[in-house]
Amino acid sequence: LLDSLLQEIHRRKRRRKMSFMKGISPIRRTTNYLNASPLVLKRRVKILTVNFNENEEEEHHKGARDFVFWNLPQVQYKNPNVQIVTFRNLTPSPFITCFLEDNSKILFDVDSQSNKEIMDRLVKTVGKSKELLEEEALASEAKSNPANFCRRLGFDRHCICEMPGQVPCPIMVPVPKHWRGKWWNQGHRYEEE
Amino acid sequence: MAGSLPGVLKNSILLGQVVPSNLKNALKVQVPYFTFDERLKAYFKKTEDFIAVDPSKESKTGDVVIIQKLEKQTKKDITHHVSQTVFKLGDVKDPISGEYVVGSEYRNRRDKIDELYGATGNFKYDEAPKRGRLEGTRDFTDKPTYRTWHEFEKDDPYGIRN
Repeated sequence: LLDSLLQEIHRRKRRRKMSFMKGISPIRRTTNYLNASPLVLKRRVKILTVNFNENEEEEHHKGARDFVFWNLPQVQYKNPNVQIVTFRNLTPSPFITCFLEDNSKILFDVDSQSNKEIMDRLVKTVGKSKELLEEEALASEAKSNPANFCRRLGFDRHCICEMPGQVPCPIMVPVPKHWRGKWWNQGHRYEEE
Repeated sequence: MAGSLPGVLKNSILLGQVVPSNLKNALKVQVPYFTFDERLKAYFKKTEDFIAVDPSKESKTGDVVIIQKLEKQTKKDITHHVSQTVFKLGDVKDPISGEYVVGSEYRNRRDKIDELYGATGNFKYDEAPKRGRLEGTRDFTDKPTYRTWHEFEKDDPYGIRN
């Protein structure tokens, strides 16, 4: 038994410590957690407002309270350009409003709903679908690939000729004729020199 | 200044609260937004003030409004106009039921309870005049107040000397 306890202590000492994980429920402050929300709001949603009451005795607000505590940072992380505002103790019933570009609004009455239900509902009505998100992820991967060239399109390098150890740019030093596809395809390889 | 503004504030519509100001024909609207601290991985609240025109002249300080970016700016500082009022200060309407609300109670329910108790001197919301009647005489929330130290003959009511 002693041996196993010592082993455990050893294991704990070697484990990586989570830094700055102070405060209530610091798991909310990890990148993995922040990225875990399925809610990416559609482009027309510009403002998200949550109205709820803080009084613990109002059980029908509990879902909204949990949503604000656990899920709101996730939503803001995935939607950095959406303005998120909370209103506390204004009305007797909790609700969420989404204000759209064209000045219209969508009201969600979240009385007595758990935060999971609220999240699912939001994803269903104002969130981008999974397929659309996967498509966008693929498209953005191509854009952020550092192996691509072309400074004009925003990548770091304009051509492979600027990397040390590569063939210098043909602007400066002409490429040997027999390396050129033009020479090869025009039949010069069959000539006897 | 526009270059360092976070992306949220460049949206065409913003939600904010009307804040006391000395402007004559425009409103100052304070817009709250969250900035992400990379190291702490947490959001911190910041506010930004915008100057907006209110074509209907209905908004007073404390109201929560939605301001929309103006397509053409006639004056350099006025960037937005008020497109809709979300909540009026003192007359909050619960959008789900449509009833007027005081904190976490409905006004009509409160009135009924008051009636049952036989309350006499309570404030009657229906009979009270619209907000703004006492601006400048008793209500000093429309313009910003400041600390004043010198005793003048005619004290400016917006200067506080406590």
